[in-house]
Amino acid sequence: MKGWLRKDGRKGIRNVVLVAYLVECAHHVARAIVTNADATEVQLIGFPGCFPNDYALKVMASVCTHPNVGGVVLVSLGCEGFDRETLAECVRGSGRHLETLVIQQSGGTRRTIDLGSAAVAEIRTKLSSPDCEIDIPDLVVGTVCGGSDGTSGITANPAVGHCFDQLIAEGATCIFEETGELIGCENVMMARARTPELALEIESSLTKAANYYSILGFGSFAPGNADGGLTTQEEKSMGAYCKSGSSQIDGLIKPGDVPDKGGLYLLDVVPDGEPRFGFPNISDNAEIVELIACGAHIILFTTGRGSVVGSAISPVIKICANPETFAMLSADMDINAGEVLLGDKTPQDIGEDIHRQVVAVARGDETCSEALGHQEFILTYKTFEPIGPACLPRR
Amino acid sequence: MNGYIDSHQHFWQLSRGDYDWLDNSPERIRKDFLPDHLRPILTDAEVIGTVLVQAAPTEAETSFLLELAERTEFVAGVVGWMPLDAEDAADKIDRLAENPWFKGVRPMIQDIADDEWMLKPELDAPLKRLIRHGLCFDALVKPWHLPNLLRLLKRYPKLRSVVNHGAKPDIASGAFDDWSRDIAAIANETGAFCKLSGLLTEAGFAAGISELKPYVEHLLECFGPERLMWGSDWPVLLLAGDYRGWLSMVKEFTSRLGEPDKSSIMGGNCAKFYRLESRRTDRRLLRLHPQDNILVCCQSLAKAERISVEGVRVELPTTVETGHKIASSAISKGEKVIKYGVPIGTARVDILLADHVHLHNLKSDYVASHHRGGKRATGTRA
Repeated sequence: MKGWLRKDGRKGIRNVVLVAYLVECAHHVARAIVTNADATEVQLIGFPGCFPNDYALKVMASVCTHPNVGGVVLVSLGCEGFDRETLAECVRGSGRHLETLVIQQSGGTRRTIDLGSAAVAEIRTKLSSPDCEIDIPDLVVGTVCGGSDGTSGITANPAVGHCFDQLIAEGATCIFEETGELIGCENVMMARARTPELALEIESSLTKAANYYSILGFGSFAPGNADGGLTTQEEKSMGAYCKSGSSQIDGLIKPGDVPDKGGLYLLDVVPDGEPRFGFPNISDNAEIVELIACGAHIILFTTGRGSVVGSAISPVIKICANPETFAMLSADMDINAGEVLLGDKTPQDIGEDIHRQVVAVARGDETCSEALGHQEFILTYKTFEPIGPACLPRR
Repeated sequence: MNGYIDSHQHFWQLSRGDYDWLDNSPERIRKDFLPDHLRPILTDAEVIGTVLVQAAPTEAETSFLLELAERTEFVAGVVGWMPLDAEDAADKIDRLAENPWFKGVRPMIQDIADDEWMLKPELDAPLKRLIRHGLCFDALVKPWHLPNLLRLLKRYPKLRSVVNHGAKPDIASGAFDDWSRDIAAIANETGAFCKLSGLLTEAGFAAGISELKPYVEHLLECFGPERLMWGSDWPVLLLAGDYRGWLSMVKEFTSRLGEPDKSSIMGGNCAKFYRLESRRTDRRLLRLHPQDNILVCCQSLAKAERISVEGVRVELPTTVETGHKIASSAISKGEKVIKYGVPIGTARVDILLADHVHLHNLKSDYVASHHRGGKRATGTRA
C-alpha cells in the first residue's frame, strides 16, 4: 500500500485539502471556496461557535494535522473568539501547506472566496504523490455504531470485534468509544485493562457516563430493547461493546489524544464536569470527528436501520447489520453483515470481509460514502480535563 | 471420538413406490427399512451417527429422507437425489442447500446407460453450484466408469467427491487389475474420498476376509487413512452379511493402524468430508461465543418447530422471535447466563434446553454505578 509520509512520522491514506471555517459567520465563504474547487479531495470542515473552547481548538488542530490531510485553508471572519493564530501555528509547524484568510481584512465575501479559491488551487499544485509504503501497523482504525437495531449486536458488531482482533494482532491501532452505551460492561472491560490503574480509569469513565446520561434523563435500557430480544442492561451494552473484540485494552484516551502505536484504546467522549453543553454527542458524525481527531484513518460504522453518512478526512466503511436494510440501501453499504442471519456466514467470516475492505480502502479504493460524495463534519462545544497518567500505561 | 459414524446407509418404505430396482431384488431386502429398524443395531454397534443416502432417483425420495433426518436423532446428514442434468438444477441445489440436513447429491450413475453422462455440459452449472455451497458429490460408479470419473474430477478439483463402495469391483469373479489401476488414478490424481462399504455385497454371500483383503488393502494404500470412510450400506448389506459382521471385518482390516487413523476411517473422515460437525447446530441459531449457554435466533421460530442444538434435536416449547435467545443447555436457577462469552445476568428459575431466555427467567446483575455509593461521578481522575 502506498501513502503519504508526514513530518510527525504518521502516514496518510488520503491527501485532502481542508477548507475550515472558524465560526459560523465564515461558513458560507468557506463552502463557496470548496464548491468552486469541485474536487472530492477539497473538503469543508469547521466550528460554528463564536466563544472560544479549548476542546474545539484541540479537535480542530488534530484534524487539520491528521495524516490524511495535505493542506489547509483557514477562513476566519476576524472577530470570533476562536484562537486562529494558535491553530495556524500548529498547522504550519506540521509542515502542511497553509493559507489563512480573514474576511474582515480581505475585502468581504466575494474577494475572500476568490482568494480562497486561488489558495486551494495553489496548494493542490503543490500536493505530492504518495511517497511511502503503508502497512497495517501504520493504520489507526476507529469504530462507531449508529441507527442500531436488534440485529446490530449479533451480526455487524461482533464482526467488527473479530476484525479488530485481527488488525491488532497485525500491529494496527484500534479505537472504540460510546462509553454511554457500555454501561453494565464495567467488570468485563476492567478485566481487559493493561494495568489495574487503567482499569480504575475505565470504571471512572463509565461511572461518569452513567451519571451524565441519567442527569440528561436518558436511561440506556428502553422497552423497545426487550421487544427485540434483549433482556438486561449488560446484554444490551455487550451488543455495542463486542465491537471492541477481545484484545487487551491498552489505554483510555479523550478526543484529540493520539494513542500510542498499536493496540486497542477506549475513547472517552463524555465531557468532564457537570453537563454544560447538552448531549455528549449530538449525532453520529460528532463521534466520527472525535475518532478522526485521535488519528483514525478509517472508520468502521455499523448500522442496523441504515445510516448513509460518510465523513470528511477519513473514509467510512459502512457495515450493515440488517439484511432487510441492506436490500433497501445496498448502494450505501460496504459490507452486508446481515448474511449472518441468513445462516450463510458467521460473524468471523464477516470480520474477514471487513478486514479485506480495510486493506482495500487503505490502498485507495473508495468506500460507498466516498463515492456518493458524503463528507459530513460536525464539531460543537465540550469540556475535558486531560487524561491521567494511568490512562496510557505504555507511555 | 466416542462411537463410530456410518458414512452410508439407506431407508426405504415400499409403499412410496419409487424403488424400481427393488422389484427384482431378493425378498430379504424387499421390505420396509426405517429408523426404528436400524436404531437398536446402531446402539449395539456403538454407532452414534449415520449419513442417509438416496435409494430412488426421485426428488420425492429426497424430501422423504430429509423429513426422516429431521426427526431421527442419529441421522447426521442426507445425500439425496435431484435431476442434476435438468435446466433448473442449479436453482434446485440452492433450495436444497437451505436444508441443514442436506449434505450432497448422488446421481445413480451405475444405472445410467450413457457412460459419458457425467461429462455432459448440462452438469457444469449444477456442479459449480455444489462447489459454491460446499455440498458433496457421491459417485455411485462401476469400475468401467472410473476413467470418465477421473476426467470429471480433474475438471472440478474443488468438488468434494467420494467414490461409493470402492467403485464396486467385481470381487466375485476376481477381476482386479483394471479396477486397481483406475481407482489408484482417482486416488493419486484427485482429492476424492472413498467409502469402505458395499464390498461384501460384490464378493457374494460366502465371501470372507480373505476374498476381500486384496481390494481393501489396495483402497487403504491408495486413499490412505485420511480419505477412506467406513460405511455399512445397510440394508443392501443384508444380501451378503449383517451389520455387526461387516463392522468387525472393517475393524480387522484396519487393526494394524494406529488409533488416530482408525478413528479417522471409522467416523472422523466422514464428519469432516460431509461437514457434519458444522451443521449440528441449526443454522437458524447463532452461537456468538464458544462459552455461551444461549443461542440467538436468526429468524423467528414457531412453537413446536424442531431445532437442532449441537446434535440434540428438540421441539421449541414456545415461539421465539428473531434476535431473541434460547438456552443451548439446561441452566439452573442462580446460574449465570452467558452471551458473548460473558455473564449477562442470572437465571431466576431453572431453564431447560431450548427454553426462551428472557425477562421471565433472567434477571440483570447490573447495579447502576451512581447507586453503588461513595463514588464521585465527575471527572475521570480518581
